[in-house]
Amino acid sequence: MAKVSLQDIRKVYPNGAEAVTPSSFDIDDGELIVLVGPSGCGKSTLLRMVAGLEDITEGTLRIGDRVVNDVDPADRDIAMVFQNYALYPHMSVYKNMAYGLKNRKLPKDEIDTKVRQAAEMLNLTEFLERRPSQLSGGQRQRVAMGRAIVREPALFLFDEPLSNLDAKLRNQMRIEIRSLQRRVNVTSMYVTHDQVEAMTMADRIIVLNHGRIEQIGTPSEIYNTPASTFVASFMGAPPMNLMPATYDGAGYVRIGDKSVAVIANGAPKSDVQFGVRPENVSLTGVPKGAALPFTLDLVEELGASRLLHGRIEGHSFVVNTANTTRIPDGPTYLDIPAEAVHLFAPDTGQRLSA
Amino acid sequence: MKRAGFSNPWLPVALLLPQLSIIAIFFYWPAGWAIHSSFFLQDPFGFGSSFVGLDNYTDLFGAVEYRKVAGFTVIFTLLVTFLSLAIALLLAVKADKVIRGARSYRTLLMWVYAIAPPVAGFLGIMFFQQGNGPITQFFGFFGWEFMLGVNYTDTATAMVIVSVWKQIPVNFIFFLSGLQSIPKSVQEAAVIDNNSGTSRFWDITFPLLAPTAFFLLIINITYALFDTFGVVDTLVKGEPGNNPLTLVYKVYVDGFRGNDLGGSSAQSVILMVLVLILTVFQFRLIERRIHYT
Ligand SMILES: Nc1ncnc2c1ncn2[C@@H]1O[C@H](COP(=O)(O)OP(=O)(O)O)[C@@H](O)[C@H]1O
Ligand SMILES: [Mg+2]
Repeated sequence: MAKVSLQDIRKVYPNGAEAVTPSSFDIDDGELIVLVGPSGCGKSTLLRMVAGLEDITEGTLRIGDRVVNDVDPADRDIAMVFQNYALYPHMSVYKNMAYGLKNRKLPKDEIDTKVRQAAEMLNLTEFLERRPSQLSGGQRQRVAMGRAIVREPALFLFDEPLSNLDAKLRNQMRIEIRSLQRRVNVTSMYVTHDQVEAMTMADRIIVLNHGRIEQIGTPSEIYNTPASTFVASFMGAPPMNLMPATYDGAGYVRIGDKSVAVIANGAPKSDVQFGVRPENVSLTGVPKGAALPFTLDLVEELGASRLLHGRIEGHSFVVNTANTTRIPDGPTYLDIPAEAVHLFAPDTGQRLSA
Repeated sequence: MKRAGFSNPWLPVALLLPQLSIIAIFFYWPAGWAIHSSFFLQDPFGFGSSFVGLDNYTDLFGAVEYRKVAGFTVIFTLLVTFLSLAIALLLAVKADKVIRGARSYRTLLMWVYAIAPPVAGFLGIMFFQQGNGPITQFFGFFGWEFMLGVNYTDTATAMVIVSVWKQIPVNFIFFLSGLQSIPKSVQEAAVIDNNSGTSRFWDITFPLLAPTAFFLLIINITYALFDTFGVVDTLVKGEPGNNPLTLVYKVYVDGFRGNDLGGSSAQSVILMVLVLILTVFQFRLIERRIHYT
């Protein structure tokens, strides 16, 4: 268990590509940080630098009190779980888990105790003598977890560990990994491109885009106050509705010839990107007050909820309603509460409103 | 389910005929002929032959000369197989480190595979030439007066070196592709589990290469036993004299130089049996071969 600190960590690959721009953040003792972002944004690169599998071009990496930039991966006191599990195909489950401990010169009986304990915890006891090829995807995933746990490392690293599993198993393993991490209380860095995984597992989320940190925050911070249009549209499904609008400097946003009240904390009059989450608006059949006319094109049934695809002033707009919501027969209007509106700068995409 | 069939029963036979006749003409017929003539003593002047039973075989096993050649062949095969595998593996491991990801290197190294074998034999002769061959001169530095084709040990050394040299590119390519088929993440998991590169090689890399290595082992034994005929022939320049010979080359020498067709046939029958054993051994092990994935 340890605190991890990254200071201006940068990665330039030999081909000249800057995969990670100088980035800094700390991970608290026992905290699970999720790095999330689209494919190619540099998540794996960042994680692999922490693991020691890639050189750090610039910056300082600390695990515990130790600067580990030039320490061998095996001596960094970390354990990593790979996307394709990366089990040793010629070794039994037992040997897969014991290999790291054996190389640390632990006595045989101690290794045995640890491996059996981990196997017990992961329901792998009956598979200890099997080869990885004789296991299902979920079981292999557990072995990979077991191999990480037995080492009792200062830091767990996960690189998309669930993306090779089917949807059902993924949900189950997500919960298992999370509760396991809580139980052993090991500081963790978890990489995923799946925003649901990020939201559900993280203590804090780091959103990456083009090798740059867009935002660091708790899941609710990321969801409720996204720092940019990128975060707003990447986190949340369906994504936040965004459309160009004008802020009048006095508490109202104009979309076409309609006005919506917003909380803008004294932002000046300017062009803006207007953002509303699909689940934060309500649908009505009566045009009361500031309700916006909504042209409904399509209804998508999701079971518990319903997605209404339509348009506001010619801009496409999605509404997420409970399946109990009655859809009016005549014209439809949207009621957008002021506190549901997010304003972003149209050029940089940075957040304007509080 | 209806099985696809031929309406004319002779059609399949006709289709198989070219293949069957090739096997018959180029394999069964000469093999049968060799077995047959191994029981006869050929008149050196070509006036017929007489049946001698197993005499040709008993003569062979009794002959000091034959046992010496067999002994040399065993040592030669072991040396060539071991050295060409070991050196190729070493080179492949070094190359693998460099060319992970960098495609152009691999293409460059592939050329070696395409060019080396024919050139290697020719260059071998040049290198070991008496007087001005670079390797001969190099050995000269250390006071070793290298005499190809004259001194038994010297010729044997040259044979081993040239044979190994010719075989390295083939082994190298196979080992390299074997190494590259080991998932990168497995290697990386090992890097996190073990800080010693040498011990990682023996614990992870080598076992995962075992199927490739085993396949190459059989290929190399076969190569050293049979395909080195050309190398032996060029190096002893058709003058067996006091030079080391392999079993295959002795078949040729006795049959075509010594005109002892019976004895030579008996030798080739023994070699056939050897190939048979090797093949059975190979299939047995391939069946039980460890499949990891
Ligand atoms: N070994 C490498 N050499 C050069 N560029 C690389 C290498 N590995 C990754 N990249 C590039 O760096 C960027 C980030 O890659 P990566 O960290 O794997 O992204 P992610 O894991 O977020 O999908 C990508 O543009 C990728 O093409
Ligand atoms: Mg990745």
